[in-house]
Amino acid sequence: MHRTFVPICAVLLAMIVGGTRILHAQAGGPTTRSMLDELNRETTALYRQAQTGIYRVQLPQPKWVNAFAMAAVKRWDKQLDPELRRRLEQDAANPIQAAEVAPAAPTTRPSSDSDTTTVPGEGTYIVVRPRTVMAETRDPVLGGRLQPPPQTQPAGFTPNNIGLLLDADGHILVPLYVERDALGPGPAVKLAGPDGALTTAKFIGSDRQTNLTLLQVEKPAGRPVRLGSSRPEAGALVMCLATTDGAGRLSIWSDGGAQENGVILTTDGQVAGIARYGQFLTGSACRLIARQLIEYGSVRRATLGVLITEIRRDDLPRRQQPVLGVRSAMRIDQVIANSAADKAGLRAGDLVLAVGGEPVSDLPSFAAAIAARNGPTELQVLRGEAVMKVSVDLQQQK
Amino acid sequence: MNAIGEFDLQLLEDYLDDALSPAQVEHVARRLADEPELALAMHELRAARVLRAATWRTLEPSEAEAADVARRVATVVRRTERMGHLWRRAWVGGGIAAAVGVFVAGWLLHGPVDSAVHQPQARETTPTPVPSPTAIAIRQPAVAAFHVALLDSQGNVIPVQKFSKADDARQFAQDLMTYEDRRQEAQQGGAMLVSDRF
Repeated sequence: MHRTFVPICAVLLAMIVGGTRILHAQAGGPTTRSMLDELNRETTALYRQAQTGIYRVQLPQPKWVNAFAMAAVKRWDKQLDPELRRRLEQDAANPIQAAEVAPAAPTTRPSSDSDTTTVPGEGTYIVVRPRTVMAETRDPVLGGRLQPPPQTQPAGFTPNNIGLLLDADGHILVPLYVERDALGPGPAVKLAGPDGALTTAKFIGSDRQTNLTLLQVEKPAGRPVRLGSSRPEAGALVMCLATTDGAGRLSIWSDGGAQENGVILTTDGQVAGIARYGQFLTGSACRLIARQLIEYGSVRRATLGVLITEIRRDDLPRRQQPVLGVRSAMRIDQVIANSAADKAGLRAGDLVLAVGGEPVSDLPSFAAAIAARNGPTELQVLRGEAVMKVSVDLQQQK
Repeated sequence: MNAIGEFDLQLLEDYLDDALSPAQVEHVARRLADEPELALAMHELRAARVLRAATWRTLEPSEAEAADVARRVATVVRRTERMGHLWRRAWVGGGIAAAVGVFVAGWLLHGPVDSAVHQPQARETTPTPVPSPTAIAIRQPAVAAFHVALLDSQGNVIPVQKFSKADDARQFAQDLMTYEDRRQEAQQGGAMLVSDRF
């Protein structure tokens, strides 16, 4: 699969660069059509191969999601009808359906369409909405959606997320944070394996700052996924699996994955990581978080003592930092007195570029980078126009 | 947010609008870095700039749908008025709302749909399949009560929120859609944590 796919993809890339119009115009020709067919077969094969490590998971609505959503009606708090409030807060798993709110689209609106919401105790979130619906009829190799084979879902099972089988012990990583108490009484989370068989998993732990949850099934089905250790190179061909239903779509990695939301596969079937509209958590970072969850049931992240904010591609502060260029960074907004950051001399306004030699470009990657740190750790910091190294004594939480 | 004065709020608005001079931008950026309260206010201001128009543009009922929703909402309101909370027990699950209806209850018993309260282009669009998001605005000048109702996927009316002003009702309906928008996006991984304490 890999031997044939890579050169074929190279040809495809050249064709795309050369103009998809020509491709479309000639699609009816025997040579191009046969090549398209071959590429479609390869793309579909890659998707099927990926399915062997994918579970369909039914997670309850996380409480933080509800708090995040309820902020939209906060202004009506004092006059909200009690029954309506109850429905919004408790029955939120039943959606208010509106045509524009749930397109199953992989592309995003411009960043100006995003908004931020601060949830007390939960940090600040930004929402990027899918914009357009991808044509179902498009060839897979040209970005058409690939759907998992239809399966008859047992009554009461409505999967809303996917999980990656990590190992033979049955650990399954779900790209969504959910509080333990949101699961209610009982140990079971319902899920279906790659073979379609319904099973249950126990909750191992969840990490809010990387937005990951770890489950474990007793008898795993399928093959564990292979996790990569770096983000795709710009221009690389990748497959993005939607986290909600596992639908796949081939695309070219660009703008740091600003258009992608899902599990990113490389053309050799490896899981490069999880993309969320410009945020990216590598496979190895996912592995690190999973290990912590297995070992402690939570991530024992050292406390740095800062309020920190991701500088996104469209943020104004970037304009005041020409030296930053297009590079992403984390900006320290506040340093807590007598904290490790304070003692190390970090200041508000400093831009953190790397932790322990690992580049940090967004909040999840920062959260993962300090997850397993203990003791003196070197931070690469941009202050003004000077890049400096600062040693911080991180103390891992007990 | 509370500690931020009007002047600073305006300054932030101008900052977001890119309406400041380079020197002012530099000043605000420096303050944003130094003042967490101001930085949080900035986040909240951005949140307040959610696209609002989209909601009403997409709440596009056909005449038949609007009339049907109005009839069902009226039924529920009558029942509510007569029997208190009895109607709540009648609700039988399914997905929450397929629609948000804004109406004046008193008028519903007799009158037609008032297009003046509704965006004109909404009536010119192709009806969407049921269940569809529906917004209707029906007015009875003599009765100053506006309701926002949620309808489930079977068309049953579930909780109704009462308002004395139409603008409030509209705004609430819009906020409900934002609520749903955020809820679904967050569940689908579209909500990203961008700022936190470490």
